[in-house]
Amino acid sequence: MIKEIQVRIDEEGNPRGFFHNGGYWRIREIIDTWRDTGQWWEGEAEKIFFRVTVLPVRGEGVPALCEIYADVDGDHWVLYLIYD
Amino acid sequence: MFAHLHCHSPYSFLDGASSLDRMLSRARDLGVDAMAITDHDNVSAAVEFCRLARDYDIKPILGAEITVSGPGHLVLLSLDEDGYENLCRLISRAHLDNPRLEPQVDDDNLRRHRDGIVALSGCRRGLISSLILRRRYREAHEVARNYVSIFGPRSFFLEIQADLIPGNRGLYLRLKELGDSLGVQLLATNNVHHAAKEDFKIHDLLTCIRTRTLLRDVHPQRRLNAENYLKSWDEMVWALGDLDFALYNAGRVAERCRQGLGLGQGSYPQVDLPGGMTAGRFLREQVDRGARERYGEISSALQDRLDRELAVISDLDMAGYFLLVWDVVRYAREKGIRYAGRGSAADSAAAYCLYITEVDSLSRGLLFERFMSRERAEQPDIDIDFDARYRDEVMDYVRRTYGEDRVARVATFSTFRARSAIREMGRAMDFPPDEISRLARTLPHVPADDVERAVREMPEFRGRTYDGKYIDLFRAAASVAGYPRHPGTHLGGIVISNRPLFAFTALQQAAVGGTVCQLDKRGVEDLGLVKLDLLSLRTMSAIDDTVASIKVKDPGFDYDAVALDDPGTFSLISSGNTVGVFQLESPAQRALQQRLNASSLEDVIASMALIRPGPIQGNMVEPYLARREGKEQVAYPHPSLEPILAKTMGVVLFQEQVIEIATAVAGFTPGESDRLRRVMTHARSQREMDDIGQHFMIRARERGVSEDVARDILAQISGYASYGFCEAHAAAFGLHAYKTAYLLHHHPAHFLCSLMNHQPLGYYPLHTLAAECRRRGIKVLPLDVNKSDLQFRVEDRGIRVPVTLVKGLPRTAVKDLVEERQRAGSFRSWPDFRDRVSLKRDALESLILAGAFDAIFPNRRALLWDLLAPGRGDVTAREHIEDLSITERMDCEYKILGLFTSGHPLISLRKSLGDRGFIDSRALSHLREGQEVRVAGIPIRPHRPPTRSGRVVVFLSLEDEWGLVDVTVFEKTYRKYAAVLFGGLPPVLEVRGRMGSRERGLSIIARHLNPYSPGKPGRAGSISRPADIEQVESQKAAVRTGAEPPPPCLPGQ
Repeated sequence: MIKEIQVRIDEEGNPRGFFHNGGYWRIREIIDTWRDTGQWWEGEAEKIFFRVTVLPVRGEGVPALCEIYADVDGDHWVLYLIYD
Repeated sequence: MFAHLHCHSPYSFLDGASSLDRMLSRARDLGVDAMAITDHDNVSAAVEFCRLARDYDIKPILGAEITVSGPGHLVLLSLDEDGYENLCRLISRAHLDNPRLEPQVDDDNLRRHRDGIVALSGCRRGLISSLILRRRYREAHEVARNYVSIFGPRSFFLEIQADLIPGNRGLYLRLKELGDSLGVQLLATNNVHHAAKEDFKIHDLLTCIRTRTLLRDVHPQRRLNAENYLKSWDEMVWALGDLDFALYNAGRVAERCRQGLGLGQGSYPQVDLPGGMTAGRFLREQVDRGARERYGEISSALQDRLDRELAVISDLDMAGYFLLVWDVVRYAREKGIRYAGRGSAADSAAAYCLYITEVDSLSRGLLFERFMSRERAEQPDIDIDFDARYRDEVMDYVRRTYGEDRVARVATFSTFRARSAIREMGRAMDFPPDEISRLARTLPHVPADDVERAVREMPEFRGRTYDGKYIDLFRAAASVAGYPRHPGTHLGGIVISNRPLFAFTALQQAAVGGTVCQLDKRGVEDLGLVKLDLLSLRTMSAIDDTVASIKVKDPGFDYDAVALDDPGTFSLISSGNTVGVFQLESPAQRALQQRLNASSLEDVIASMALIRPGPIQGNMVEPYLARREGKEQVAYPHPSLEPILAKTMGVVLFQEQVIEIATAVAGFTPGESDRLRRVMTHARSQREMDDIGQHFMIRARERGVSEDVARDILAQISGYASYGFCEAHAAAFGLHAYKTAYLLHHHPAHFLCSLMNHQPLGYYPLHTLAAECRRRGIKVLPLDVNKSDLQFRVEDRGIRVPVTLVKGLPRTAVKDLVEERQRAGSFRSWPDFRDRVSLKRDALESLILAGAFDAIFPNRRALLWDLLAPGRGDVTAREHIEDLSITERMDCEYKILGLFTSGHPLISLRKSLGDRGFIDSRALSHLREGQEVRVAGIPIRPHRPPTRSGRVVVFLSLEDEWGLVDVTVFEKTYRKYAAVLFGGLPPVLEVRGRMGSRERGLSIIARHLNPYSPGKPGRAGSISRPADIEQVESQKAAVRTGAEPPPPCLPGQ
């Protein structure tokens, strides 16, 4: 499950929500944050990861747990993992 | 107060990627008030850290990340001097009570040495965090409670780190809950392993080196991200979120710390003194007694000199130090252990009277101030060479006498240089091993940050392309230039303290036995501790053996009393045939001796100083020789220099002369003069050189010396610059040089035999010494199971090769063989040997191939067959098998013994060489200067010493069947043939060129250098270097597999 997404961020650069599957998902809580340099020797950029709980803005539903990341040097966001 | 309390320096050995200077510089830029260095299980950085932190105005806190039983990590910080001592005791116990390199502290020791220490629970490899991460909360609670009971709640903290690793938030919430339940605070660090974020790549590479992995490999010790750098206050707060109060706790702990390391506060251990006597008085007694023994009668000049020296020693409170050294050499003398003081100690008449040195400084007019002075007020260096076999015994005496916890070996830190950095970084970056090996091998001995330039400019690399990936490698290597790679033990340095060393450093087991402290020479000196260099010198052992061997036939022989004006010895020295002579055997020295025509010990002493980079670069050599030969007039830039430079023909040869010149011309005090010498010697900053030079000029002008003359003199002593010998050292070495030349001239077999027994020793490999024996008419007698012993032995008119020389033969097997022969007599035949001595097949193969049975059965190949295919009857039935050729025999001998006993490989190549116009080394003396010449031989030690012009000149020797040929390669030729000389030497090198100037010794100026190639394939055998042992294996394999006697199988045949 690796998919490019559009993310809205706050003033500090933390994600507030993202668009996925035709809807907007609001981040309820940032559970953890970490950085990963990846395979720097292959030219891979450093990434900042967020493990978040999200809720769809429209409709009812249980919060989902997922991980998203952004390249530290850009605004390229990716939905990396959704926990079942 | 902003404090980083968990930082690793390069002394964490491959786990710290920024120098202390870079760390502190960045800390200052970030406004860090206090910083703790917490290297793994050591305090090696302590002295350098304290010194640098003072410069950066940052409060230094001394700590360590120790390994505790579990195992796990725990960060300890010393609050004060007691705390530092306890830290050192804990680290020492961790090392000394456990197997080497597996340090571990247990709770009992933590409890015993907890005073003055604050403990942090550590990183994720700390016991508490690792248990929490495994959800073993109850056990984590127990461990934390235990630490609280050991250190108390004010001195134990749960550590959280701003390193942005997954799971941090959960871990830290658990730690906070744990702290709340035990009344323990959180404390924030960043577990710093590099100064800035961009240094992470280097840390990652170092981790790969440490874990022996490649960058593409996965390893738990590889860090996920680049966050373990010195973060600013804001970065720390952002990463810690609502736990930022833990950062304030770090500041509060830092405020409690007081620096716990007193630089320059060491003091001297005390020799046992007779009741009521002071060290000064006792020293005076010993000096007086020695003076009477040495001189018989004490002249007023001697008395004045000794009084002056003893007054300086007393004023500087160094009587105890001198007595300590006196005690060490007294022990050696009592035990009959050969020794000699070297270095500037020979400037001291008191040291001579105490039998520390063998140089009579008074009669030589040597300057005591070069050794020590009130202005300098530093502990002088006393270095003593001991017979290598007994040096450790002397060290043991010092340990026993002054206390196991007060005496330790001094550490050294092996640092990354070009070759090691390229090898290790290249391996981690997954470069092909062969390419890296070739690149590293070809590199000269330059710093690791000079590789890019070397590869760009040096002709050895011409034609090789190094693309972007290689540039990354060169830059990675440059980043670790000079970083300590691993700790080691100094060759001879020991530190001696008057109180347990734990006040200064921690101890650990030395790989060579005994204990080694965690400080290097510089650290020991900065602390003001006593350091002695008790060096082991194999030359001493060789001299001792030679003397013992001579005494068997000439019991009255006294090495210490040999005539110092022996014409035969000077004749030998002047011939340049000085292979084996201490300090006079290099090609440069041999060439010098042929021109110098030494006729006194003074000439030999001057030789020691002449062939040094200082005099060479300062253009001292040619004027000295020209003036000595009367071809140039001795001139002095100023009349006041005549008494100083008269004995060295008006040129500056010795460091002492620099001091005297500065005193005579500029009126420098001895201390000022010595500062001048030290600034030049240590090649410090240009600004420092300019400052002292300007001072010299001003003072000289004040004394009426003209500007031009003063400038000329300054230029002369500045040109001398670094790497010069002090006269005292030259005198000490010169004496040995002369005396070993005496041994070589009068007792060549005994002396060369002893040299061969103490390899590696000196300039040349074993096979060159063997060639030198043959050149002198001394036979190198082959390996023989009935005659060879455990060591080389003089036998009739030759030297017998020992069984111990056989590579891969266990020592026990050698002993069994010799003992069996002594027990039941000579081995009568091959079957007799097999019956009486039990050896593995490999060992027997080596003995056969090396010729050990030639005397009882000369066909080596037939014996090999009998060994590998037994049961076909008597070995004599195989006599028809064609034996190894002479080339094959020598090849085997070279590989198995490291020398040739059946002859010399050049003998078998001589016909082929002669056909192509190559001459041998004997014929050189008949050639005239400039004559074209072709020679070939085994190349020995090509090297590029510094030159006055800065241009590259390579010197090497070629060994042929008659001796050595010296070859000089100037820059133009070197640029063409650098790959031949430094890219992997061929077994035999052909040199074409012309005879050099006779005045400069017998040497060939090379124009072409090529690996030997026979005119036509099969005309001559080839030889290979001992390292190519697989060729021996191929020979054995051929014997094993052939149904019938196999054909010769050496390459080229």
